[in-house]
Amino acid sequence: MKYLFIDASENSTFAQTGDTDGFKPRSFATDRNFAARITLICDEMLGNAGWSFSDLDCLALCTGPGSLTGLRVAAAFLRTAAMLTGKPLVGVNLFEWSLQSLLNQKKTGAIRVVMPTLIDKAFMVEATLPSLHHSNPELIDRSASGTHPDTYGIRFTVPGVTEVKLDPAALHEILCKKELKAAAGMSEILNILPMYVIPSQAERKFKENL
Amino acid sequence: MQERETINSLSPEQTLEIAARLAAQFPKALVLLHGSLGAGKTLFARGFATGLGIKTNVSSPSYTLMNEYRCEDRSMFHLDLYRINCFEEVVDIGLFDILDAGQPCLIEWAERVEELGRLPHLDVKIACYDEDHEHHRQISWQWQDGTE
Amino acid sequence: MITLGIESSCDDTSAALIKDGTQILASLVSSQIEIHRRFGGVVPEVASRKHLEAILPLLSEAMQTAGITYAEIDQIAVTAGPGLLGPLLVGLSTAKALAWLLKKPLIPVNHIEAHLTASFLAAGRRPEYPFLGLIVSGGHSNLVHVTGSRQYKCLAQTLDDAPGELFDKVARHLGLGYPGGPVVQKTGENGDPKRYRLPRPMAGKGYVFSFSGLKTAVMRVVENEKDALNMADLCASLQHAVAETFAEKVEMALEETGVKRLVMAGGVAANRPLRERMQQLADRHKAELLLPTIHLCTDNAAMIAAHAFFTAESAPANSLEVNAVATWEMGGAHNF
Repeated sequence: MKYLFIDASENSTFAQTGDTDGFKPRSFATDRNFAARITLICDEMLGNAGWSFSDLDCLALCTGPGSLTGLRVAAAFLRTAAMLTGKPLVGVNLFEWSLQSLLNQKKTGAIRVVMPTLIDKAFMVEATLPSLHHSNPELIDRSASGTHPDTYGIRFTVPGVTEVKLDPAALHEILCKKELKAAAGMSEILNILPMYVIPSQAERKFKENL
Repeated sequence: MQERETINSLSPEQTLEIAARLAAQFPKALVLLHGSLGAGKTLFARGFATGLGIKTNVSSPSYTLMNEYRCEDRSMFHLDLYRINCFEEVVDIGLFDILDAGQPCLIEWAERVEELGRLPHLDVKIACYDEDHEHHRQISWQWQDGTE
Repeated sequence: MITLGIESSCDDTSAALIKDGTQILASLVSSQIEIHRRFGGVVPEVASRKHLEAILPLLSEAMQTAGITYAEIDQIAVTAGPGLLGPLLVGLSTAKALAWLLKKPLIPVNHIEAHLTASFLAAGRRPEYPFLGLIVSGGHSNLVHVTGSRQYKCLAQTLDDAPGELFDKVARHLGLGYPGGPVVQKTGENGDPKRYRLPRPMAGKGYVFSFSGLKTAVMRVVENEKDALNMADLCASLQHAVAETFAEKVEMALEETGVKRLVMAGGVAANRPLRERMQQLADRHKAELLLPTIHLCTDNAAMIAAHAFFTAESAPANSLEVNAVATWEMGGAHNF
């Protein structure tokens, strides 16, 4: 099952192609220029795999959390590609990816995963390995991240928090296990979106005024 | 905590000068501008841009939400949150990408998004204080590092 | 030749299909139609999400309205700036995916330039040069002398507030509602435009517009009049002041350039007193006046497609590598 995956959740872009024979991860130093280079990145990934776009069985998108700008560009591009060509689109979020990575390191039991977000906050999920199911992300104070045992951080490490490296092999396992519908219907595509995990405080205020 | 400094401006030209001097003192700052409708926030922004050496036309970003003024190697961003409804929209227009890049940024009506007060910033207030002299303004500023 | 246009520079997302630059096959804006119903979802209120969530259903709806298949599209036009980067990137990335996969040219378009083309499109015509362009909207107030395709000489710009913003703020202050332009026009319909003497900012000061003085003048009238305030007269007087401000500068430009074609564009071009004043001016100078229809005044993708059709030769060869830009001067190069 041939896939092309794009993660634009941080300044450098990570992409990966893979099929039953293996996978090829690659990082691109895009800084803030991902939008300008997206077609070049796709061309390079396909060229490196020796595939044309039509050879792909599915498209895969990192849904975040992370930089809204990058996530949105990748989402707009891949959602359109899926709609136009009928190729299925799947989404993978960084929490899933981190849990599979921890599993591959033989971790088990109740854990937390945190990822910093704007200003002084962080997203936090709870999970019990070997299940890859995680709770809905919650917003916590970044300074409170390290207060629980067995807390892992995505692109983040402070006292009490161990960084979990997002493992390309773990990503490959996740993608190979995803069930693909025969063709990507519009409603399936419309459900793949960057993670707007938490309604902001102000948005909650906004709703209360209705 | 830094002291709040205050100065009276007797004319638009004076306001421009005061703003230009502050720009020279705080060239990379996030500036949160407070003042009622007509107080002269955009005028202040114009003076600030001049102080940074930016000669491009500065106009109100109320409708556009964000304006960028570029001159050679320098850039200044000017936002107006009058039409913004929530924090997520502020993220959406790319404010945090700009702040990450260390560019000077002036924000009018910043009080609409309280989270911004928690970032280190120059807090500027412009007030009309004299009914008999419509051009007189009291301008005060204070550096706030957001921790308190 | 079929051109697909995508526009998402500010508040709304829009998709359109035009034929040969002058015939609109479909032109849809996300705020106007209940696109979410067809797909069983809900288009969110929060602006930050709606561009991404609206674009694909909107695109599908436009294709269906036009009765066109993707294979029939010859080129793809998209607003690359100026505007807000977040929204712009949604439209741009969507357009790139289409251009890359369909192997058709991508043409990045300047939103402000396209507004002028909208007025020609409204008449089913191709742009004709030379002409004087007056772009008046929420965020812009520009007077330009246009001598050829993408050749603009900027004569005047606003120093502070644009007229659309002036109407919005005044309407809000008077408790009239949003958006300000239409409600100020309706309220002032039978009002007396001479009742309140409002200033003509920058009168006699050459090619420059300024409207923030009018904002404070209106506030002062409200304060002074208190209960004696006549809302209809105030709105009429405000529109009159705005129209006269533009009339002075446009007249100067007509006299100096001798150009016999005046084109008004942008959201505020829907304002009736302004349109009437411009018509008077055009008649006096024996010049032709082109105005947009209401749909084409505000942001739309049809003008993006039309402008691309007429300026395609200036698109960069590597347009798939174009980025979105918050600032882009009219007639400026694509050096992103």
